[in-house]
Amino acid sequence: MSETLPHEGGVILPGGPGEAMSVEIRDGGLVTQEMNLNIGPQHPATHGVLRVVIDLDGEVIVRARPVIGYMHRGFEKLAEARDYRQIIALVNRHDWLSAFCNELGVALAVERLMELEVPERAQWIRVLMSEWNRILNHLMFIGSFGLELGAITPVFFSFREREDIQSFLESATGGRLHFTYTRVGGLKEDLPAGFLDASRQMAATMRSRNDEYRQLLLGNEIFQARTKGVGALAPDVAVDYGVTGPTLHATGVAEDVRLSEPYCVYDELDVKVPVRTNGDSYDRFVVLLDRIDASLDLIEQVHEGLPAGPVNRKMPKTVKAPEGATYVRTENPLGQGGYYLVSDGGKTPWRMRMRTPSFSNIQMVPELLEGSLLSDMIAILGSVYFVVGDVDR
Amino acid sequence: MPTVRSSETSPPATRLAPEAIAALLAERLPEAVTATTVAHGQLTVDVVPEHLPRAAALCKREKALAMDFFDMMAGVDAGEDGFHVVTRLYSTRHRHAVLLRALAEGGREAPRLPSLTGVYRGANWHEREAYDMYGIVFDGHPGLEPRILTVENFEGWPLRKDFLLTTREIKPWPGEKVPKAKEEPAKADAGGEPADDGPSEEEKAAAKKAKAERAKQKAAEMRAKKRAQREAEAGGAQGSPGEAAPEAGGEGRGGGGDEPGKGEGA
Amino acid sequence: MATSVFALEPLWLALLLQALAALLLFLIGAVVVGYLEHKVLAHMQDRLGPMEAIWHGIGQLPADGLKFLQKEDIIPTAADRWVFALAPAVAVVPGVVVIAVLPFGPGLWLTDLDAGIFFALAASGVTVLGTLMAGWSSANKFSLMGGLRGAAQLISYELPLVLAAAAIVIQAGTLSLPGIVEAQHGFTLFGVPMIYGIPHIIGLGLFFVAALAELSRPPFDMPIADSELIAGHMTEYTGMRYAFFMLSEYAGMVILSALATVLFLGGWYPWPGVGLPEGAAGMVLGFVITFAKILVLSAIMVWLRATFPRMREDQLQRLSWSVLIPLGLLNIVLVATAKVWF
Repeated sequence: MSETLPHEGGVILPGGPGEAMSVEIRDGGLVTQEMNLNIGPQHPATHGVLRVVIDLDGEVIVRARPVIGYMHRGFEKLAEARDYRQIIALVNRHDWLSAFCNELGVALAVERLMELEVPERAQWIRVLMSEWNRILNHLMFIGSFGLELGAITPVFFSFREREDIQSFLESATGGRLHFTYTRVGGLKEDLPAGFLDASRQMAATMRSRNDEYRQLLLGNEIFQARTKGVGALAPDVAVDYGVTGPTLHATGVAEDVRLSEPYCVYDELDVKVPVRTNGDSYDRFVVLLDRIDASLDLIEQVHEGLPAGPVNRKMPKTVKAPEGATYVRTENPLGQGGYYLVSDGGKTPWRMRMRTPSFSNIQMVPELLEGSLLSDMIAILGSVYFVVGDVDR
Repeated sequence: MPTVRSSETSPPATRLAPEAIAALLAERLPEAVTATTVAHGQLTVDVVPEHLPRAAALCKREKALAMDFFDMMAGVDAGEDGFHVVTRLYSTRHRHAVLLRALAEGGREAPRLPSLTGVYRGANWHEREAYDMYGIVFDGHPGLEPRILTVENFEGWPLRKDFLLTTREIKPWPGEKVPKAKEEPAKADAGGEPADDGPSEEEKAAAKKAKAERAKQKAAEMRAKKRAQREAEAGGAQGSPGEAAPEAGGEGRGGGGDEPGKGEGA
Repeated sequence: MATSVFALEPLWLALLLQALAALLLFLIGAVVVGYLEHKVLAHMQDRLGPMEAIWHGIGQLPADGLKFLQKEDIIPTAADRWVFALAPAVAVVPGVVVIAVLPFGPGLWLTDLDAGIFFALAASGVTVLGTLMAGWSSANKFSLMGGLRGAAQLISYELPLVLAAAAIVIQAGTLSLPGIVEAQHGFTLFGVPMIYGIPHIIGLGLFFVAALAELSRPPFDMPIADSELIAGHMTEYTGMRYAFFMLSEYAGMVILSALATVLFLGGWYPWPGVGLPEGAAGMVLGFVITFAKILVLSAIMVWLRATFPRMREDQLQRLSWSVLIPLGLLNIVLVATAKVWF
């Protein structure tokens, strides 16, 4: 085809309806034309409104360009017009699957600027909640990854467990998705009666169910063929892009904030970080499953070690962070979350930068996509775990 | 299955204290480093803007530092001076970090900084975001446009302090008000705020009206500005990002980010 | 051998009855298998599935049909209108046509062609033409890729399907489907009456895998691939036209299960050597037995859908050309040798 055909954005295909077809031979071969394809912003594999513009040669991806911002809600600007207790409710919402870990990051940042000591019991409960939140998040991705590969059953299993976990978390926090349980200086309130029993029971159930997920997918030949060696990420590339979380751990780098800069009481616990070395989709998925076990270990340690005492300290009616700046990192389910808080001493932050794991993870995605097949794109996007709200904020 | 446990990994001996990193950077790049601060155990190094890539490259390649991990980049509105860009670099091997802070050249009108994309690939989107939010142009960046988070034809730089939240102009955010004293009469600190019933109904209505008026005026201004820009573009002159200068901050609101003291005593 | 119950006089009555019966069987088969899929899948996934429409949701599919009828029929502006409108019909017609030669019981077939098995296989292959037409005419890139994948899949999997069937034809010595059932009825392995499926286990496996691929059923549903191609060739279809595609899929399950039943599982006989009563009772019993076998095979297809992820297009092609087709050829050689030997 010698002339240029409408290529970008249009629906007219070369040789499609209403167009003459012409064939050109050059260099002893058939000249083919790349096809430009928009995956998203409305596409089931993008978990929301991520858009990836790809150029296809047959089914091979030549170029990939993620386009983000469809869900930009200006959280950083909003945070500048809200006081700290409102921000805690706000940050629940950018990564809706890691709500508790997000709000914890803000509380930690403010507490650090105010140089507050948080009661011991509150810190332990914060760990407990973070880990349950982590499991909730991973269950979601275990289900959806199977679904994207065409295995429609795991999602029902993982959502069954999600429901159970959400109901007993609801008894403590009042929320199923947006917990808003943290306060600057402690927690909203103490755990209700019977919560720890429910938590213990669920931890035991989760252990056996986690094996169920393994059996459901990992041994399956088609699953292995679809994921092993697909989208292999090199550790140095991952680190260069600031990739964190399960995606980074699958490449063999054990960078985990709970290890390297423990917050709350993680330094008193035995934190296990599962690591694998191939960095492909399969390893990313296995890391996810192993992380559930590791989180269950931590939860059980919290059950044993939870001290008695208050969960809150007396706070002034309006929280004002003193002038200064600090950067707080937390290990969110999807990777490292960070809040860079600059305060001018007022009720609202002067600046609050949200460093979100999904943003960095998605930025890296073209490295994996280029040269892979269209079907592999689904396996890659499904295993570089991200939440679009977390990318766009 | 390999697992790394916290009980087996103590902080590596090669981890440098913030002061040591500061000293090392100051020694190796005396012309780049202007100041170092350690607060809350975190090191912030002020860097001369033109030397920012050099400083970052040093942090990445110097064996003792080995900061291979690009963590994040944050623009910060620095008021009169313009804009700060804070870059956090981290070493996965040594587990130490540094915050490099550079004041963009060109003040508020045309902030510019050299790009870090040559050093860290991860800087790409973070710089695009800083451009999108603050209008800071990064020299050497492969492509700041199209705007990464806002829509392509968005006007203004949303995170600048002179960019006001229009909705908040029309209707004050109720949470901004200090809680009324009568809700917690027993508290000692309630004494700090006089028993305050807030502005009377008429006053409120008047204030609301005035605010709506102002918002309308502002909308008209923005429309006019948009039109002007469109005309300028039609004329072939692509407005440089810095040209979208602050103008919305007037009207005695002091340009600062603090919302006007609504409800803080009548 | 029994003759067809539809061998009636006058001819116009016979034709009318045959046409009605084919349509009825087609619809009933599709609806029953569709309901089976809803329920089996649901129970395998720890949920209930449709429960509201009549008893345990048995009215769900007719209700869905009504819903589809009411929906707006949208044809995209850029679509090739005629081809777009015709494609669902092209996908459905082969199903109805193939029903004509399938034996559902002693005498319960519409017509007995001498080359019945090849007619059935050839006609069922036409379905993919509908896929291709739909994919091409929708003027949608996702649809186009779905259509092309469907065509590529058919080309690679028609071959193992035919090879597996050919081995049975060699064994039975006839191409007629009722003829194969009768031949199987008299088949013995070392003196023990046996269905073909046991000695021909390779053929059965080949046939089943190829049938799945031909139907674009998971794990070979790349032409549809809802998480990549968003239902592929069906992306742009709405209302009744979309329902036609679903119908053709379910009817396809019935047809290929019925073929497998005839070829490998002894057709309407409960077991080779075990006869059926004469007359109407035998017909009813034979119909029930055939349909039970069809449902079991369909349920296995549903089970596979609940179990397996989707394969990748290149993996599918490799499986066909480097495993299934050599295996099919080897199977024919083995069967022919055994046939000559014994």
